[in-house]
Amino acid sequence: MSDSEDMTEFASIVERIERGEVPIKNIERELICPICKELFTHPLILPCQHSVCHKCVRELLMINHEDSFDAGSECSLPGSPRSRVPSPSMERLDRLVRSGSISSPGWRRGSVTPRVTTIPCPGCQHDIDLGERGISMLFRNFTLESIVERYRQAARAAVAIMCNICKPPQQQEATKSCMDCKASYCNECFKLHHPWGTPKAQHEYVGPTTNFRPKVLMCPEHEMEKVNMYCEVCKRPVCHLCKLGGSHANHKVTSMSSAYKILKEKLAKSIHYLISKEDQVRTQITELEQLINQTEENGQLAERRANEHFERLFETLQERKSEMLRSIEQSRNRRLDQLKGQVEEYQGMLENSGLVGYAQEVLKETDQSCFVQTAKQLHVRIQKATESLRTFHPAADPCFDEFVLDTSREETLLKEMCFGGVPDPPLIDLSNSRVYNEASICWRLSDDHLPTDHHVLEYRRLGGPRESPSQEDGEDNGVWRATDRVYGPSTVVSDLEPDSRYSFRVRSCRNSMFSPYSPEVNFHTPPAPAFGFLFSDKCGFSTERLILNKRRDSVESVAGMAFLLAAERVQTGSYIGLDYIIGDTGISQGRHYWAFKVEPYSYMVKVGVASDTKLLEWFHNPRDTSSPRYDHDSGHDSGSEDACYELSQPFTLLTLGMGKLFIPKASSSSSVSTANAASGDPGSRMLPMPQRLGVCLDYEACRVYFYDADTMRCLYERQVDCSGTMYPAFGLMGSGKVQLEEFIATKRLTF
Amino acid sequence: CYFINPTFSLSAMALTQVSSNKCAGGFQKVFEHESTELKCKMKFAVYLPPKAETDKCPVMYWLSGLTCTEQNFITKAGSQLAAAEHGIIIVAPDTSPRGCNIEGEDENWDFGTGAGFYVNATQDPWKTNYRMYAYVTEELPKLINANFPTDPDRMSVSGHSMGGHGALICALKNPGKYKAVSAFAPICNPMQCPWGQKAFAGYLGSDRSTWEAYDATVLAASYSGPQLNILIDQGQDDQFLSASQLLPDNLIAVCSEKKIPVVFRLQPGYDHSYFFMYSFMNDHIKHHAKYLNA
Repeated sequence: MSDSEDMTEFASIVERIERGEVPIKNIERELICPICKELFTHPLILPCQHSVCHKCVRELLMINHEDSFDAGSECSLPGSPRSRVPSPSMERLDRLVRSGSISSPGWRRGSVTPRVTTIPCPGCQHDIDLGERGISMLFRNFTLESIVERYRQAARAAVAIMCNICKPPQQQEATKSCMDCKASYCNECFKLHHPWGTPKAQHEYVGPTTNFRPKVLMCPEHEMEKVNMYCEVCKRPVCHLCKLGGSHANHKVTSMSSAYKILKEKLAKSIHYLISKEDQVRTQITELEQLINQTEENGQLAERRANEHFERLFETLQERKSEMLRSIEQSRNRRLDQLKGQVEEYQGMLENSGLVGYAQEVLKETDQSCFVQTAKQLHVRIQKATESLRTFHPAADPCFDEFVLDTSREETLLKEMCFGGVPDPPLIDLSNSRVYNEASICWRLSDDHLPTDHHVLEYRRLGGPRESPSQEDGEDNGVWRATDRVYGPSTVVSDLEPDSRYSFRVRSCRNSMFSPYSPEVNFHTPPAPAFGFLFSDKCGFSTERLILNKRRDSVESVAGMAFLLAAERVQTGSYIGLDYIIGDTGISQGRHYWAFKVEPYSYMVKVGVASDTKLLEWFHNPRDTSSPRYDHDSGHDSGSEDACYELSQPFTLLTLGMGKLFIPKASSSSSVSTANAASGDPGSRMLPMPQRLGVCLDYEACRVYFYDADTMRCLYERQVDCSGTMYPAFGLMGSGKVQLEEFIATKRLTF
Repeated sequence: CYFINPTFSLSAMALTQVSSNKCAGGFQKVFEHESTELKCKMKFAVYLPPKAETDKCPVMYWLSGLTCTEQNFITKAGSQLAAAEHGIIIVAPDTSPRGCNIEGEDENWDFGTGAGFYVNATQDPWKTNYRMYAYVTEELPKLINANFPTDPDRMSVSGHSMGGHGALICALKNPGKYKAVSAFAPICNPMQCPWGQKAFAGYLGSDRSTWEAYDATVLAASYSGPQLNILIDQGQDDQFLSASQLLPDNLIAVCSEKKIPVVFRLQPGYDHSYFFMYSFMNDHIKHHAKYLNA
């Protein structure tokens, strides 16, 4: 059943080849033996799944065989298997082949002497150990053979296969080939030779072929058994004896039919996928070709550049060499001159020569005035000579220590010379980078320690505001824009679109060589311009329980001395109040966004906005707000109280605490953008506390939005009564801390 | 050893063609052979649809009723056009061994010759030859698969009356072997009807427990295997229905209890004859084709 399917599949492949869907010359490369570089003849499947011609494996084995014998073994004895096995006649091969594997008696005899069974696979270079049975272990790749056969035929422009039965000149073209008869027939002859009611009616037949393969694949290890299972471990067909007690006893096997089905489906799927992606493959081939060109050009360029660098180095070295040698030479000459002069001078002091001789002659002068005239000057000279004799001092130092050249450092440098021209890419530091309508991007430099000249940050917009995707499809979408040169590890990018995703990348430059780009990182800009403020120290918060830092950008809730003192008397419990603090800047129009971090250890923190009109009285009467009755998010409220109570609330707040964030119960004035949070079930209203929280107030729309500031996902939004000035508001209970985010410090942000 | 050798001897499988007629684009043939199970010459009819000239086809085995030979079905049932259309080979064997010279084999029309009841007889003098169950489930399929362009994995079984009983027990006793089963007016519960009791007592002996192995209603109660989709047509004016020979109600009760799907169609006005079968043969072949060509 499967054979005919196979054949129809081959037929369809051939048909496609003929239709030009699969260019035939391109299939050829798959049908070529990696050793002989010719179309496969009797290919065998190596354990690594590569196929090689039978004769090529044999030769390969032979070469390795002889190699090992050349290394000195007893094999040159006559009658040993070393005597070259002549190429088996086709008849013999045919016989071997019928068994589905190659097992020649000659080869089995060979196993008497240990023989080489390991060959390198020409396909993948892995060493293949064929084991004791050697080549006879290998399956013949009949499928490949059939394809090669079909390919040969197609290549031969389909030389017709003639009916083997009818005689010329009436010989017909064959329409079927019977795998049992191993003959090809025309329609008439096939019917005649396979009459119904005889066993021949059950013969297997395929389209006309000259390639008659055996009907059943037999196990190479157990020649009487047909293979009927597939070993998942060894990736080869095995028989039940292999599984029962053979070499595959403990291996996972599947039935041949399921292995067939699975592999066939996989292959068909993959092929269809590939064929459907032909355009893509072509594009990629074009790209690869471009890459080849680039590689060639860049390679040559790099070579040329390296050469230039070395030439320059050689020149410098040559220059230095001649300069230094010259200075040595000069020094040597100068000193030699000096020393030689001194030698002459001293020789003058010897009797009968020079000064002494001359002096002796002068002593002979008898005329007093003449003597004095000459001798005075001579005496000075003699005295000097005597002096120099006493204090012998060579005129020059023979030591050339100052010319000793220590090149060990340079040598080390030279030896360490490498392609360090291109700096490693920097890495954008997510934890220190912030993106609002302006982005502050920090990056870490690579570890190669060499100084870089400057960096260039590039950024592009990935997507527009979610609400109005059509608003901005202008040219700034998706195009990389670069900053000017940056000489530090961070920079600020201005004028980013709100509520958009931006991608950032950075690269370093050294000696006009750019590093590769850093990995891209994406940031989502907030839906509104950043609103800068600090905590107000004048709003009347409880300085006893809230500690502001000096910069006023963080507030911490503590027990407070008074509370601790009071707690001395407390034995059964006490009530901690909510303490409120607001921003020092209010909002009376427009959309604004701010972000902050609530420490995860915080007991309970409420964040949101507050209206100034009602604020004062609340601060004047803080106890009221601390009752859980008034805390509309605490879960204590009843529905009836809710409606009228909310209107009078100066605060619109979200509750966080103990690493959690709580989405308020849905009410008429609020809506929740997350799908899971609408129900009244408190479990589903609880989210993990985001690392950073963002709040956006749209004054005109009277709406406040709460975001996970890292992902810019809106967690919750609700109506807010915007009257008067609205302030960022925070309430803390128990220990806790809120840290305002430092907004990007450009001049435009003035508080 | 390079090929799978046939495990049975070829001489025993020799077929002699008795007749061959072109029919519905294919061929209606009758062959004769020496049966090893039945120890006598047996004839069978085989319809080869036009598709068999180029492809391997599934086989439907047809088991005829009391008194029939291989001829009744092929001349009266009108199955060939539908078989040609769906590319199904139909094999119709004879209903019993013939000419075995057993004493009394020809005395009754409902026992002995023409009434093999598709059981393997255990009683003398029948046990040597009357092995119709083994014949139709083993020997005949082997013979057919070896000599005709069949797909051995796709076979089904159908029959009429006693053959309907045969078809049902073949399918119920061999889960998965037959891809489909159908019957016309089958003897559904032979242990409970005069025909069955007579035949079983004769072939199997008086121990009723041995009868259960050949009773469709009993077998259905203990069936487990791939889902069987049974199609049964029954004429309402069938004289043997009213004579309580067929007892389809008993089978249907068990099947509905066991959740075995049965399409049971009571056809008003029809009797037990080939005219009745002829009228619904197309439906049955279509039913078989659905599972055989799936």
